[in-house]
This record gives sequence, C-alpha cells and structure tokens, in this order.
Amino acid sequence: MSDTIHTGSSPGRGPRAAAHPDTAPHRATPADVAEASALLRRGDAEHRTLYFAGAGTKAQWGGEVEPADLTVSTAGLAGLISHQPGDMTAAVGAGMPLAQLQTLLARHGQWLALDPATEPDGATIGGLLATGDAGPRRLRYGTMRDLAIGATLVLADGTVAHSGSHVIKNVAGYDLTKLFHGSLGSLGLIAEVIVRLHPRPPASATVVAAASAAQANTAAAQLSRCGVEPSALEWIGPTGAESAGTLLARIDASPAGVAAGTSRMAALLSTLGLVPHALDDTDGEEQWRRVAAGAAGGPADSVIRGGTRPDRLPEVAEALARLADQHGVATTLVSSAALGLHTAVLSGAPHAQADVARGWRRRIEELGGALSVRNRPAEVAAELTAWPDPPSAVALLRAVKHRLDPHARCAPGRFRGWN
Amino acid sequence: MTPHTSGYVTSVSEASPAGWAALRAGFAAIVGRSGVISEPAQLRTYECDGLTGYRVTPALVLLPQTTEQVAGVVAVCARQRLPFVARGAGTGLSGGALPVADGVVIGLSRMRAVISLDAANQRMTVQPGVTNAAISQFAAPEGLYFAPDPSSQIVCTVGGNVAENSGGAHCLKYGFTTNHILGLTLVTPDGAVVRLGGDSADTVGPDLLGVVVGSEGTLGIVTEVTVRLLRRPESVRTLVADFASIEDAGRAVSDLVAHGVIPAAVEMMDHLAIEACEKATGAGFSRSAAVALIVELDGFAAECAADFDTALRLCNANGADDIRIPATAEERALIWKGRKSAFAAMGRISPDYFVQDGVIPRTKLAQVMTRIAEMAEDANLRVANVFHAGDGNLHPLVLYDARREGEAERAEQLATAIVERCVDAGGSISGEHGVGADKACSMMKMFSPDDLAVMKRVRDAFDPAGICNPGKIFPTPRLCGELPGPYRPHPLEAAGIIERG
Amino acid sequence: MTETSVPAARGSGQPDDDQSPDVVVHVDNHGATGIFDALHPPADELIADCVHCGFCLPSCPTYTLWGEEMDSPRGRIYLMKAGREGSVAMDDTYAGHFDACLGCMACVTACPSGVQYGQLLEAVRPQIERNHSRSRTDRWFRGAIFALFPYPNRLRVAAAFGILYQRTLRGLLHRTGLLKRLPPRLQAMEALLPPMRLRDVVTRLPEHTPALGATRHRVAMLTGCAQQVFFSEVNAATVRVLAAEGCDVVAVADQKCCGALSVHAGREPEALQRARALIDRFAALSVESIVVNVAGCGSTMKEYGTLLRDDPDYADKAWAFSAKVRDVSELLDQLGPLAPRHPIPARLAYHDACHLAHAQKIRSQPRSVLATIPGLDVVDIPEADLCCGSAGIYNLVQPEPAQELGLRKVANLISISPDMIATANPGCLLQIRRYLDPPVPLYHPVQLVDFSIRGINPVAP
Repeated sequence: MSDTIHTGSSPGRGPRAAAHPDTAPHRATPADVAEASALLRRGDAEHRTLYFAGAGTKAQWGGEVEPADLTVSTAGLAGLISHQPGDMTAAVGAGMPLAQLQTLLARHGQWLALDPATEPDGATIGGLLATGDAGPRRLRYGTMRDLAIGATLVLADGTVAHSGSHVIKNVAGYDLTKLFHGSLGSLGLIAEVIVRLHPRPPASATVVAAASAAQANTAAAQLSRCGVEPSALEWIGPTGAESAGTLLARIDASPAGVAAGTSRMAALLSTLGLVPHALDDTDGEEQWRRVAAGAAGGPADSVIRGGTRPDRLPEVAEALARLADQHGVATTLVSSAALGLHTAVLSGAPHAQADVARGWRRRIEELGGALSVRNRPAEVAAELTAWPDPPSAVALLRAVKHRLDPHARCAPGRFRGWN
Repeated sequence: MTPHTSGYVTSVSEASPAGWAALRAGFAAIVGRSGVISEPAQLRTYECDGLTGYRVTPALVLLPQTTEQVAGVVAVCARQRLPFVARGAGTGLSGGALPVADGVVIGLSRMRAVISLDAANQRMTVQPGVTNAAISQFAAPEGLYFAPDPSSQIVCTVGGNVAENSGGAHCLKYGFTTNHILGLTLVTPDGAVVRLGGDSADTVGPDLLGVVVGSEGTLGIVTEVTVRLLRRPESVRTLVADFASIEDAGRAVSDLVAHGVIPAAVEMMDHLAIEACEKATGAGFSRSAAVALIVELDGFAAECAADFDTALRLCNANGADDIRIPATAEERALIWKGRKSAFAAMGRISPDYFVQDGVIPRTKLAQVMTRIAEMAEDANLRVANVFHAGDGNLHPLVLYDARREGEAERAEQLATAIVERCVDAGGSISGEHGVGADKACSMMKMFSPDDLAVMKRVRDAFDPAGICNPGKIFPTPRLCGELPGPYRPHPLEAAGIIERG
Repeated sequence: MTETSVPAARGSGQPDDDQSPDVVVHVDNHGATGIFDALHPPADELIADCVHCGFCLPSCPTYTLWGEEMDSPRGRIYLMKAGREGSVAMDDTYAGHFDACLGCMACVTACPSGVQYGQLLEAVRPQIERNHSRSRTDRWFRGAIFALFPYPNRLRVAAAFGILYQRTLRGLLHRTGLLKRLPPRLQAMEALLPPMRLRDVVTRLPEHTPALGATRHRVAMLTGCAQQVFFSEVNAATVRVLAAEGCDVVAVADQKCCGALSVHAGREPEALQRARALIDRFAALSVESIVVNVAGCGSTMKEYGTLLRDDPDYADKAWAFSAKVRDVSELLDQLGPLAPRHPIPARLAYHDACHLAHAQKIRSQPRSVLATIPGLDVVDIPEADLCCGSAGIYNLVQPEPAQELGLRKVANLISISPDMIATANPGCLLQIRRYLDPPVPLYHPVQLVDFSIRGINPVAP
C-alpha cells in the first residue's frame, strides 16, 4: 500500500483551487479493490473521515467538504480492466482519465460517448459517474447515468459491492450504479465502472449562427424535430460587446449523412431568419472548445448551474442579464438549449456574485427548476448555499446515506443543508 | 421469505372477525366501498400475474384512484404492519405482483388519467395505470411517442414498466424505461408522498429516481409518472431475413455492429416461435426458415438509407436465404404484431410454458444457443426461442404439458439451468422481466453475499418494516441454499404457503 | 353416466308458445365439474387455452369501465376455472360477474392464444340459469322481456301503446320529473323506445319477391322480431336491394324468433326450441342462402350446429342450415354489385356491430358493399372495437354500464363529424339513437345501398 503523508495544502488540480478539500493529512493510493476495501475498513472503528479524489476537476462542486482524515486517490485504480469490442462494453478503473480511455478505444473505432469540458484537465471515469458531469453531446448519447452499466463500489466499512453487469440490458437487483450517480463521493468509493460504448462517428460537422436567446429557443426546438437527430445544441450568451449570442448545432454521422444533415439544418436556420455558417470537423472543434471554456471561469469566479424545462431559455437568459446588470457582475452563459441546462460564470465582487446567484436561483425556482453551485470563491461560499432547499425525498436520501455510511465518513459536508 | 421470517406481522389472520371487519371498513373509508374487493371468488382472480406457475390468494384487494388514496391505504398497512403488493395490469412475467399470503394487493388499474402534456418540452405526466401504448396514443396528435415498447404494451401499465425497467424490441437504440422517466411521485412504505426527479435534466444528489425505476415495487408505490416523449424518426426501414442457422444470423448481426451500425431493433425467432406466431397472427414469417432475423433501422433518412443498404448487404453476405422488405406501414406493423404476440401465441402449440429472460454478451449468442438446444434435448423438452439479438436478451420458451407426469418440474429445472448458463457466459439473469418471485434464488448465482447485502441496505432505507412487496428479488439463504444448484422449490412453496398452480 | 332429464318441448308447432326458462332442467352432477352441472360445463381444454397474458383486458368494455380483474375476460375465465375446481361458490357475486359480461367477444378478436371465449360464455350462462336462483324482481323482469321481444305481434301491440304513450303521457312524465323516479331498468326501456309511425309498425313484407332481371341466387330472409316492428323499412330495403341484385327473395310470414336473445342470456331450453322451429320452417324452402340483416341473429344462426349438437334428430339439419346463413353484407359482397348505383355524397361513420365484427369476423364486407356507393366517404371511428352497450338485452338489465358505453360510443361517432351513421344491428341502432345528441341520421348499411340504387340522397338538403 502506498501511504504518503502530505502536510499543508496539496497542489491544486484543475483551474480552481481556492478551498480545495484535498487537504487531508493522509493520502493513500490503493492499487486494487482489495487494498481499497482494507484501507476503508481500517479507518471504520475510529470513524476517520474520507475524501475520494480522482483528478480533482470538480472537487468544489456542491457543498464544501470538511477537511478529511484520509484522501483516497483513485490514481492506482486506473487500468483498462477489459474491453469487448464486439459487445461494445468495457470495464475501466475509476481513476482512468477519460482522455486516456478514448485513446485506447479509438484503436477499435469506438468511444465512450461523453464530451465533458473537464476532459482535457484529466477528468476520470469514476469522477464523471460521481458528479454526473457531461458535455454538449449528452443530447444524443446521454450521460454516465445512461452509459454506465455496472460498477464496483467500496463502502466506508470496506464492503465491496458490485452492481450491474457486463451486458447493457440488465434489470437484476437494484441499480446502485445510478444511486452513486450524482452522489459526489458521499456514499462510498467508486472503484470500477463498466461502460457501454458507441462506434466512433465517422464524421462530424457543426452549424453556427448568431442568435438571441429567443431565437435560439425556437431554433433548438425545430432542429430537434427536423429529423436530423443532432448530437448537440448549445447556445452561448452574448459576451462583452456582442449583441447576440451564438447557437451551435452538431451532427455526427457518415460523411454523406453529415453533408445532408448540415445542409438541412442550415436551411432550417435560414427560414428562421438566422445566418448559418457550416463548419467542418476541425473548425467545429474550435467552436466547441469555446463552449467548454465559456463554462470554466477563474479562481475568483463562481460557476452556477441551473436546470429548467428547455423552453424557458429566454426567461432564464433575461433574468441573468438583468441581475448581472443590476449588481455590476460580468457573466457568461452557456445553455444546452434542447435540454434546459444552463451554466453561468459570474465575475466580480463576491458579495455581488452571491446576490446574482441567489436572485437567479429564485427566478429559476419560480420557473419550476433548480440551481446548484459548482465552484465559488470562499467569500461567495459564505453567502450562497450550494444546494436548493431539501427536496421532498430528503428523508429517503438521509436514510440511504445512513445505511451505506452510518458514521457519515464520506465527503462530510458535501450535501450540507440536506443532511 | 416466509411471513414468519420477514419481519412483518400477519395481523390480519390473527385478527378477530371484528378486527378484520374494522380493517375493511377503514380501507373503504379511504377508497370507497367499490374500491375494496373482499369476496373469495373475486380475490382468486388476483392470485397471480403473467407468471401463472405460482399463485397466492391475497386477503384483500384495494383499488384506489388517487395519490392521496394510495398514501392513505399504505399508511394503514404501515400502522398494521400489513404486507402489501402493488399491481398494474398483472402481465408481469416474474411474479412481481404475486400477492403475499394474508397481505393486501393494491391495484393501480383505476388510476388511468393523463395529468398533463407539455408537447413543447416533450414530456407527459400520467397516472400509473395508463397503458404503455395509451401514452403513445395520447401523444400521437403532437407527433410524439413513448419509446419503450415491451411486447405487452397494449395492456401493460407504465407503473409496471417503471417497476421492472421494461425494455422491448427497440431498446437497443432507445434505451429502457429508466432512460425515459423524468420524474415520479412515490408513496413510500410508511405512507408519505415524495417527488423524485423534476424539471431539471441534471441529477441533483444521489439518483434515487434511478434506483426506484427497476426496483420491482419493493421501495414504494409510484402514483404519478412523468415520461420523456420522443419525436417519431423521419425514416423507418425494416427487413426480415431468413437464415439456415443461428450462427449465420448471429454473424450478420456482429458484422453490422462492426460496421458501426446501431439498428433500432434486431430480433430473432426460431422455427418453433415462427410456427406459433404464424398460427396466431399470420404475419408472413416463413415457416421453412430455421431462423428469422428482423432488423429495423430508423432515424435521419439519409443515414438510415445508407445503414439499411449495409444491413441488406451483410445479411446476404452471411447467407440469408430470403429477405422480405415490408412495403407499407401496415405490413411492418403486422410483422411486429407477429413478433410481439410470440409469447401468448405459444398457447397454440403447447398447453404450458415457462419463459425466461436471461441476457448474454451478444458475441456469445451462437455458443449459448447451441448449449440451450443440447440442454433441451437432454431434458426431452421443446424450447422455442425469441430474442433481442442486438443486446443479447434471450427469451427461451420452455414448452411443456402440465398434465404429463413430472414434466412441469423438468421444465422448471431446465428454465433455471438456462438462466444460470447465461450468468456463466458473463450475462444477467434478467434483461427486462425482473427477478420478482421467479428468479430470486438465482440472484446468488449472479451476485455475492456482499452485493446482495448492500442492496438490502438500500431496501431497508426505504422499507425498514419489510412490508413493501416482501419476498421478491432477494433470496433467503435458508430456503434457497447457500449455493445455486439444481431445482429448488420456490421459497413460499417450500414453506407450504403456496402450491404450484 | 349422468342423468339428464329435460321436459319434452311442448307444442313446438304452435305459434306464440310460452317457453319460460323457469322450466327447471335437472342435471345430476357427479362432482367432476365443480359448481357446474354435467351438461356442457365450460370445457377444460378451452379454459386451458388461456395463458393469462392479459391482452384481452384493453378490449373488454367492462374492464375499460371498472378496471377490476373479475370483470375482464381473463378474470372471468379464471372464475370458470375456479368453478370447475369447485373452490368457489356460484353465488350472487359469481353470477353477477357473468351477468356483467356483454358477450361482445372483442376479447376473442384480441386474444393471441385463440381462446374461444364465446363458446365458454355460452357454456356458463345456461349453467347459471340452471344452478343459481335470481331475485324475484330479476326473474320477473327477464320473464317479461322474453315474453315480449321474441314475439313480433306482441311487440306490435306494445309499440302501438308506445306510440300512444309518446304522444300523450311522455311529455308529462318528463316535465314533472316523474320519469327520473322510475327504476333504472324501466327508464332504460322507456328511453330506448324510438319514434315510430303506426303504419311502419304494422307493415309486413311480401312473402315472395322475384329478382329484377335474371335470377342469380335464391334466398330466404329472416324477418326478425324487433327488426320487423321497429325497423320495417330496413327489411323493405333489404328485399329491394336483394331483388335488384338478382335475388329471388322468400320471406315467409309465419317464421318465428331465431332464439338469439335466449342463447345470449343462457336460456337454453327456450333457445333450442326456437332453433328447431326455425330450422323446420326454413327446411321446406328450396333456397341457396338464408339472409339475415341483424348481426346478433346471424351470429346465432351460424351456431345452430353447435347448439343442437346433442339432438340426434336435428344435429345434421342444423349444420346444413348454418352453412347457408349469410349476413346481407356478406352475401352482397359475395355476389358483387349488379344494379347501378347513384352517388350519395356524404361522410358516413360506420359502427361495427359486435356480433358482426367479433362473432362473425365480418368487417371488410360491409365496407366493400358501402364502397360501391359513389361519393360515400366511409370513415372508421375511434375505439371501433368497443361495444355500444346494447348487447342483446344488456341495456335493459344492466342500464348503468350500458349508459356509459352508449355515451362513449356516441362521442366516438360524433368525433369524426359524420353526416350519417350506419350499423347493421337494430339493438345498436336503438342504443345509439337514444344517446345521439344532436340527432344525426341513422341507417342500416343496406338502406344506404337501397337509396343509392333508387337514386335517393337521404341527406340532401
């Protein structure tokens, strides 16, 4: 077992490191599931608190985790355990970075159909499951909720539990893989994940057009219905001097299919009074990087995430712009237009950031949605709760937490306000 | 799991006639007199679902009509520690709605309202008794439909689909019920009402919605379902290819996958299944074919056309004897009607059958099918095969005649052995029918004691009293034995609670 | 061996004979058939065809209304099975679930396993009549129905009183609200009474109508009971159309009721007696087909072979008789149109009568026949397979569910905005008329063919 002791704060992983939870006095990197199990079990008697770390790209999502006694890194659980190209499934160690997995799978013309913004920063498979992070192409392919078909989990008391199997279609037993989706490390360690794969799309192209929120809303709805089956539909809100935002529509298909699809999408956008530009794979990638960067933010910024019904985009964008203006905060907004998911980056005085975030949360809740906080500087954290009010099912969440982690050792504080 | 070891009290049978009457009156005050079924002959009609091998007469059947009524009766059950079992249309194939002796059946068949339809955002909220097909019918005027299409879709309810995480022929491309549920209203086993999921597409916190879907009615009763609706694809292309062997057909499917084509559906039927289908529906499958392969592609017309040509080419390259391409929507609908009637049509070629639901990695298809044929020959029984070739979900139909001495036992042993063979091949004991009462003992073949213990912890979080559909999914080592092996009587049967039907 | 003592049929040659089902048929039961007696209990092999799949549930009107297993085909078959086992009692509850069954046989159409629910039901209903006692009011009411409806002359008298009532008392009863205070069954009867003219009620068909032009086919026609009294114009139209299409039509005046209502109500001795009488009456006629324009009657007449299988004197004759029975649309479709048609430009909602579509599987023929009328747009209605609630005497003895179904059927018919509605059964016509609001012209399909041949457009402004 490798057990290194760090003193002081560890080097920041990822772009934001203001209040990094990975500051535990002890850090361990188990090399396999058995080691991980033994490690967790050892700390059970003294109720040592635990923090599970992948690449740390989303370490600050949700509530601030209290400093833990032991950080368990998944860097040693990072191998490709098996890959069945004919069945389109693979079993992967939780610590493997997505980028590395994609490289390995590409040799067989396959990929794990995820394109999160955190991929270049080393986002791991386990982290993607624990956080539910995904990218624009979730429109077509789903998230880890849909792509993970099994997992090996290690609970705080060392119990190893397997969920799911190597076949895509499986209803035997409870879907613990889904239970851990979105759990942000609060229920236990994800050690291995079994994923379903897709054939790598032979070609991809993107159509962009300048569009207001209202125009993007209409366009996205129509593009979803025009028969093309776009793989991503995103809208970047106007920034700085621009008066309009940018709508991006992506299609993955064969070269012929991409050509036909692109021209159909462009034609449709034209009939809506927009001016489309078709971009090939390379130029398109450049635009998608812009989308990813737009949702990143710096160490002094807050990144907040709202979810509503898709057709609320204009109200959501209007509210953000109004609040930002009112409080003197600069914002960027990136929305998955056909999904109703909105990521906003707020820059400015911390007090003002918190005001804007709270105001936007209120508006989004009025519209029937919910808002959570992904990243924020410490000063903002003091004034802004990470989570909305506890849901009606909070008693169940507490009961599940209590059964799996009775001594509340895993990521304590992550769901502050709900526990 | 017998009533005496599960942790709940059979207070009904121990109650005095006066107590029993008071209980009935209490329920009637909540659901109305017409919502309480208590006559012996009437209770008999609820004693099994689509799995007729096991029957248990419930003590009472309740038919509520609203979420409040469901919560009210569950609260009474919780107070009285009365076990209850939720039931939709009773078409399940794993005994998920098998009643508990001295327990209550809570039927959702009267909760059939559409609550709201948001066509712009492609979602609809319905009560759990709405049938799967009815959802698509209601959504049709908006050009939308509900993608999960289990074969019993004209009668099975969406509540049942949620409980079993039902699949269907088109789940290869479109996923299962769990991929199309945006929210649920759940009555928890203590009678509280909670909402899971919501407007936001993000999961916020651990995904309880994802755990409840597929939990087979053991974590509570769903009283409202918000479903995701899809737009019909602009192009649908179907072919039916006859092959001389499963190996040939399987290779065609593998080639298709290797070429990066994901069909919307890939189905296979063997000779016996075709015979039954044709007797029932006359759908036009060829009775001289050893295997019929249905491949359906849908989506963007340009892409679909290219993929269809690939599929044709690959079927021919792998020795297809004949390829039929339906010319009209009606013809295609008839093909699917034939395929979807397969189970029920078995009644035309055999008085009884067990249908299994094992899953294997698709690449092991030919090998496992050969093994099944060998096992069937050894047991001197016929096995018809209908399966989802795209995702490896097999439906071997073990045909038997209960009137012949010992045949029912042999058939059940064979069915269990087939399922366990699937696990050995790296698959699962159930792809879509659920574990229910039928495969509980086989859970130990697929999961370790720790795996089951952790699932049990989750169950206890929802249902500490153990009254919500007890006896389903989880085996009891005492009754199932420590190791899976040859035929074991169903736990309730071994305890003398139920008899073979 | 079981002892079956059935009292000899009394006076089968006399008109208007009284065949009360309360003539008790004693059948000794040696216990192998549970709560059923040994006279044709529902057959084990037929029950075993049911694999409990539930595909019948969405097609069943009572399951659609009430959502409970006992009132679904699957549940009723289960009750039959339990009855055979002897593990349940034939009490009011048990009998009630079979009384609630409309006998529409939509489940037979829906069932993938080929369960012959119609045969099972026709085995169970007589069992209930024999082995279960109804309440006195129920017995009286049913007795009254069967003392009236199978007798056209009595119906004419009742119709005459009905016309008088409609012109005098009805308005008063309506306005004072006294009508609503009547028991539901009497209200049902009252409401079903259609508007009538005395001359239509008393008119009779000519006994022989020769073909126009060359004779293609020789037919005998069933004149019906309610049909000849309440819908004499349908009979007249039928004869005209058949003649126009080259048929020689014999419609003997002294034919009696075919017994369909009795069969469907489980009143077996009465049904057998009527079947024998009708077979005898038509035996003397040398015709190639026996034409029926009532769906319910045609369905029963095609089953005479099964009905009389135990009677060595009639079994063969019954099969021969049944082989000749044709619904009028079936025959017209078989013969092919001869007489020129004139257009009827109109939108027609066609309602498939259950005993035509489900029992006789006659769906395409009425549509083909109507398609020979130029300009007629025949449109299918939503929930086409759902019974209208008439179901023989069902809308009299089970008025509440019949009302729900009637309203639903009418809503479905109106939803396609028809200019006219057509259906091939007088029971359906009466039921639909009762709930139709605003009024839309109602016809038997053969009337439309008749209009077309005669160059009449019934909905011309």
